[in-house]
Amino acid sequence: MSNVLTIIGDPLLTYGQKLVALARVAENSVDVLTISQAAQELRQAGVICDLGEGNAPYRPRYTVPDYDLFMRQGSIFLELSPPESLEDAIHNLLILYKQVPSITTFPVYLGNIDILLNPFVEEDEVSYRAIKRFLLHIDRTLTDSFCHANLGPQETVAGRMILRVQRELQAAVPNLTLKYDDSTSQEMALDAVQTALLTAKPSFANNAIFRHDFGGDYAIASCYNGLAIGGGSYTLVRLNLSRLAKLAQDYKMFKDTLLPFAVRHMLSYMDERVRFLVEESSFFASNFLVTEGLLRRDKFTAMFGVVGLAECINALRGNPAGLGDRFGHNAEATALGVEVVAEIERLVGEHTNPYLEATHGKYLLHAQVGIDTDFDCSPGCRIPIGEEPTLYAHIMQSAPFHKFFPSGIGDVFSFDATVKSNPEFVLDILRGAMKNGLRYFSAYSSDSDVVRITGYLVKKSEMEALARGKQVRNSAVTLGKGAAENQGVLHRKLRAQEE
Amino acid sequence: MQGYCRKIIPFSSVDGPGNRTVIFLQGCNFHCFYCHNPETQPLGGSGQPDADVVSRDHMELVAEVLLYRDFIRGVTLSGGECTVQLPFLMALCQELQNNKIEVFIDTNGHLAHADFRRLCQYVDACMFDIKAMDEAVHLQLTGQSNNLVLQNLRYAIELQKIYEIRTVIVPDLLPNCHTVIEASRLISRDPRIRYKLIKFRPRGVQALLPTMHMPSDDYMVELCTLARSCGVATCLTV
Repeated sequence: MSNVLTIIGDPLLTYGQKLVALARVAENSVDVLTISQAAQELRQAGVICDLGEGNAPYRPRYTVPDYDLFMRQGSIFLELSPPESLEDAIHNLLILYKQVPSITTFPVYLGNIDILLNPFVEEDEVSYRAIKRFLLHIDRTLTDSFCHANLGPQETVAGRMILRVQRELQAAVPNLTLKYDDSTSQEMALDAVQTALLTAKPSFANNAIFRHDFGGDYAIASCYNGLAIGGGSYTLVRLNLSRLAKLAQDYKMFKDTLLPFAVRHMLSYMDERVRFLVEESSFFASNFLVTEGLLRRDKFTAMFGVVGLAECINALRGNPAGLGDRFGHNAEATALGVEVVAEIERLVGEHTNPYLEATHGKYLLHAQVGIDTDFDCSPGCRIPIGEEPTLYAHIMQSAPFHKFFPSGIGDVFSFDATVKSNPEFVLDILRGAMKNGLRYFSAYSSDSDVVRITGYLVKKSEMEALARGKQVRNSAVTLGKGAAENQGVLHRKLRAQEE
Repeated sequence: MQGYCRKIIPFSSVDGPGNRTVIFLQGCNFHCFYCHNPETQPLGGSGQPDADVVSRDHMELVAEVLLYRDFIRGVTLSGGECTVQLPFLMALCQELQNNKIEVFIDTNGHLAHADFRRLCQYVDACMFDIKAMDEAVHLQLTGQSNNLVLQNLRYAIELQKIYEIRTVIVPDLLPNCHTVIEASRLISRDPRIRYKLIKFRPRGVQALLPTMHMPSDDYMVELCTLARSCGVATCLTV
């Protein structure tokens, strides 16, 4: 009860943020999941962590509605006809967004918005202003950085307008990804890079790799999570490899005993979360997104997250002091990292859950980017901030890990502001990275107000406002501030003119 | 073939279009009083290069460049003055060209015209310095006449192998307006050539002339406007 009163009395929370916090307290007031003793102990030790998903899952963590279908059929529940104009299309989408559930209570996927809007767009300022208001509305009402829109891969008039709007609005929401491949025009790619150097978005998804892994179309949702369209992820639980390695006497014990033990109990915990959501919550029986076909249970999967590989590998190698021996700089450390991830892939791949039909009963691996309170683990397989090598070495070290993580992994690079005068520089690096197997690439410039924290965007000015005791609209600002304080995300190695 | 190299920068954003690997060769035939990197000048003869300079095989350098191939638009060979080690430079350019790597050279253009013509066969484009258009000023500033520089520059412009021309602006000590006007007349022959006006920065310069100072932003803008009015399509300042 005191928790409820703390929330009610918190001067830093907006009304909406209080409502969400109170709903979490309510959800957590019941204990309905059957959790094994071992899983519970691993949770308490922070080895496995459900990222505050709550005690009684009543909606999937991430939903990825089929917005194309929505544009074609409208909605009976919302009493909306298919759009006939840009105004209709924008309003229909904005109405639907407010009904799309996720862990954050806001939609984590807004659609491939360029393709959705382009049929209604004219190459004129009237269309431009309408798109600008659309994105302004999103930023001001879907006040959460995990709302994610997609673009591309091909250039469209709408796509170019969306990039121009982002440069003008300088808003943290929505997160934005350009699906990039050989069909993306040079102009569109360059425009996207220039926009990223001004406002930290879009990021770039390797379209060829994602399409291969998903057997066709896919969405990038939340931070950088690849998921099937019309589906989503029931849950995301993560394995903290850094914490697990601390329990190991040596590598043999880690690999032969601890890793299989932790993976097994994490999978059983995830199975239980999935079971409750599918079988006991009414979500898939009655939610209109499901009954109208915008979400299909057979398009769902769930994400097996890993975090802290760098610290894990360093610990297993006796925490070497010299940078040249540490993860990110040492070929043997990279090879051991790949071996550990491959073993996790094998262990997870041996397990089947009948409700994960989108991925043939298998959980998808996800390189989890951490949470605001983490202090002893780097995101996913990333090289720790403060120890980053030069760009070439960094990308080549990271690339071998990307193939293991269809539901998301990515690297973030902070560029010196002078690079803005040569955006082709960043584009060339991006192309090289993708050619060498990088799945997801993010860039921003050191002088931008909007910055990428781990996978999501926050404005520096809003983190400062929050620190001064002001309320801020975006619920992710608190997370960004925590990550800035605990993980030094504002101190990524600055990629200068010469690397 | 062996040559003296100071360093390799795998990724550079400031040595030509896009991302480029830059190889800095040792030695320079000019001795500009504002030189920011005097350590790149000595190569045998009067002075010995420092310990950072190593002898490298041109095939080995190309092998290193090929590692970065997916990430770069090309290679820029810089210095010092890269043409001082001409046979080595030619071998390097030729081998890069054999591997279909775009080659830019960053040069002061002071070499025999016949040599420059041969070199141009293996070079996609040049980034050329114009220190001064007035011969006497050039002699005073660099220790050399600018006759060869201008002859080679005119030839490269005709070949459409100039990417960029640069002039360092030093207020009071150099006739900057004269240089910009005369250079712009040459540059205007090819609208694709960028003219880059570089602010002199006292930092790192041997204090030969304590009166040297950095040009104001206003002055740089004025010179840029002047260049444009003389027909330069793209003029920028750094």
